[in-house]
Amino acid sequence: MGQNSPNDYKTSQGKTFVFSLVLHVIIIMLGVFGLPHLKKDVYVQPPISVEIAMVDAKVEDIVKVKEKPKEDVKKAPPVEKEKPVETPKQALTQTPPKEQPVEQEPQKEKAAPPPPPKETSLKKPPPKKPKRIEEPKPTPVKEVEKEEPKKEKNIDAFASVLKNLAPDEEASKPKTSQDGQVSQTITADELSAVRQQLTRCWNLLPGAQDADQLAVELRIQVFQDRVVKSVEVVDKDRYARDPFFRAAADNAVRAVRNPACSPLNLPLNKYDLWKDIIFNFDPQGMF
Amino acid sequence: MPSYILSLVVSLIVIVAFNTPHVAQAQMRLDITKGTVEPVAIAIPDFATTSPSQRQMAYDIPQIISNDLETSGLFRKINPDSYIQDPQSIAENVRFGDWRAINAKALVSAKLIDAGNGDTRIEYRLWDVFAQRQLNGMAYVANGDNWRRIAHLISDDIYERMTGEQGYFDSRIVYIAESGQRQNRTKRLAIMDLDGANHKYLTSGNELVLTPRFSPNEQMITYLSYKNGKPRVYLYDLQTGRQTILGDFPGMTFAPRFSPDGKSVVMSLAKDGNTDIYELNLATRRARQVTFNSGIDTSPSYSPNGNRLVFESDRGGSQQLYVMDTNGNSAKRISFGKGRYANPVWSPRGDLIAFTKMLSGKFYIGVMKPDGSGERLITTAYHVEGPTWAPNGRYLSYFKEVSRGSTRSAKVYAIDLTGYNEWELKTPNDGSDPAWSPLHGQ
Repeated sequence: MGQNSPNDYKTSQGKTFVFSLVLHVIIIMLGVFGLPHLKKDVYVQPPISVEIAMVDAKVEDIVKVKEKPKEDVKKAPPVEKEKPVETPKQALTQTPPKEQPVEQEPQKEKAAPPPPPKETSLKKPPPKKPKRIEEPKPTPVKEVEKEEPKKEKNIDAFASVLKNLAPDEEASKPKTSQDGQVSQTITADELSAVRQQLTRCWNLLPGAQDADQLAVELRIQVFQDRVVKSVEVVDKDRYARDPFFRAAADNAVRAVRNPACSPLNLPLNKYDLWKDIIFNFDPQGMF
Repeated sequence: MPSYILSLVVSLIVIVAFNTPHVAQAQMRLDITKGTVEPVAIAIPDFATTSPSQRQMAYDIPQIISNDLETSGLFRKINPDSYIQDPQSIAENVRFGDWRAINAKALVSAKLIDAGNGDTRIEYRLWDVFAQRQLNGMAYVANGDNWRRIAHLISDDIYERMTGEQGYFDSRIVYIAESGQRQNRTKRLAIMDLDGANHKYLTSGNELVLTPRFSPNEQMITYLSYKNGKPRVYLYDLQTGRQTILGDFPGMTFAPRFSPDGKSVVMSLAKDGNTDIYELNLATRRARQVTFNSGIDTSPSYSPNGNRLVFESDRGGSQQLYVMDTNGNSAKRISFGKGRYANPVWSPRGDLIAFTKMLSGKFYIGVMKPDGSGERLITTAYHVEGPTWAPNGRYLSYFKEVSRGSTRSAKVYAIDLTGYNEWELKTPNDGSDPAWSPLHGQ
């Protein structure tokens, strides 16, 4: 009693060693994986738009789709004799003349009723639209090689992408853009340089419904040599459910990935300020 | 304190210390509010095939897709002479560097596979060259002569993926084919694919026909015919070729249009010197008078949900546009600009109403919101009239009449909503009164 036997001592040492080992493993794991709950304001989901399809990605779930044959239409018989039918006045309206609307046109037709049109039947029912087939899922792979910048075209920004021929209407004017939270240590000229660069690379597709509501935020991570490292669409939910937003987001990603915009015109000596940056592509002022 | 606990605490402090700086750092943000508006440069090389019998199809389908996409104004095909990678190797492995080198933003690759029984399996993929990823991939099986339609379906797929909006290339145009001298004009109902292929005349030309309109299922056409010397609204069944008079009205009926559910047709009836709007139930053939006004109420067009109608009326003294409930209540004028307004057509996506406008001796095609705001005139000519919407509500078709001396020429055109991209829909002869079909087979 009161004295530890050598076996007890060995057992105690062993337990301590195992316990210590477990704790160290936990610490190492924490060191490797970090504490996610402490990084609430950092985006942790993997990027969407930088995924690169495996070039040998296979079309999956491809289903054979057969169309019904297209309708076979007989050639319309040639016009045997052209009746002297006056074209009704179509000036702007389908409205009949107020005076004797019914009689005006018919009286110019010949008295003999025209024969019914010969068979010009579309014999077969119309073909059904072939079913869509599942989109193959590309497999993401690692980052790609850097691009050398190319010479950029000098393209003027313009006020509106929608034409209006109205002589008495004033053309819509672009809204003045305002930057959000921008570090005070980056000058307006520096911001303007990268903005102008991206303006040339951002190719809008006008005419979509509510196109002015399709602002896209991208989170960009940049290498120190100002080449884009990764691009991530911030609003992933909308990207997944809204095809208009998806197209607009892809378009914005193309702007950032455009070789003409690589490297970005960012101040080299302020890497810490732009190594992780949000670009907000907002077309509101264009419509 | 046991040493391992102390070790743990110290380690945790170190880890926390390395993690917390991320929380504090504010992220820089830059707004880009201007871009360029130019067509997307797209490369559409010939499709890959190993079968000599498929060579023509491997060449023709990319041509059709290119033509479709280019007419939209949103795409520009890159000259095939500049392509570096050959079609066969693309099917195996896309070399993105080769396509970036010629500044292609999108690439279409495809291969044709013999599927037996004379069928051809067409597997295509759409690639984002800059992002180096596949955007879309589909496979269709062509049998017989339907490969042309499959080309349009691929065009629709590409358009939809790149714009987010439904495509419209797999659609048709019915219009009035015109021929002969000005005073002796022959007008026939004709139908063709949007790209002008598969053109057919539906009527003989012995009677005057006007204002054709598609039913929502694309199988019926309603139009005005002077058959037997009396102007009446008719139905043309595209499956049987049968023409039937619509309703038994005492006066002249004209300006017909189907309801969105296809169950009724709304039209104008002129009798006793007055013109009002009527709705005819196609199942019961019973008519219901919608407007009761001493003015001329005509050119009715349903909203996509079928709850409202836009129409033109001179009830206020001049030709203007009005919107009302389908039961005829709550009529409200929506056009207030200078000039006269006519031929209103509600967009299939519901956001706009297209119309014809005459102002200072010129004709315009314009659009406005259903409440009358945001009026924009997008094309003009000596005589331009009769707008009809593409199934996706992003394009309009209409006809233009050009007078050169004593000759007069009418052609069918289409334009996108920006007003900058206008193109002619090729017809064998003159054409007027186009009606754009819903998407084929819908």
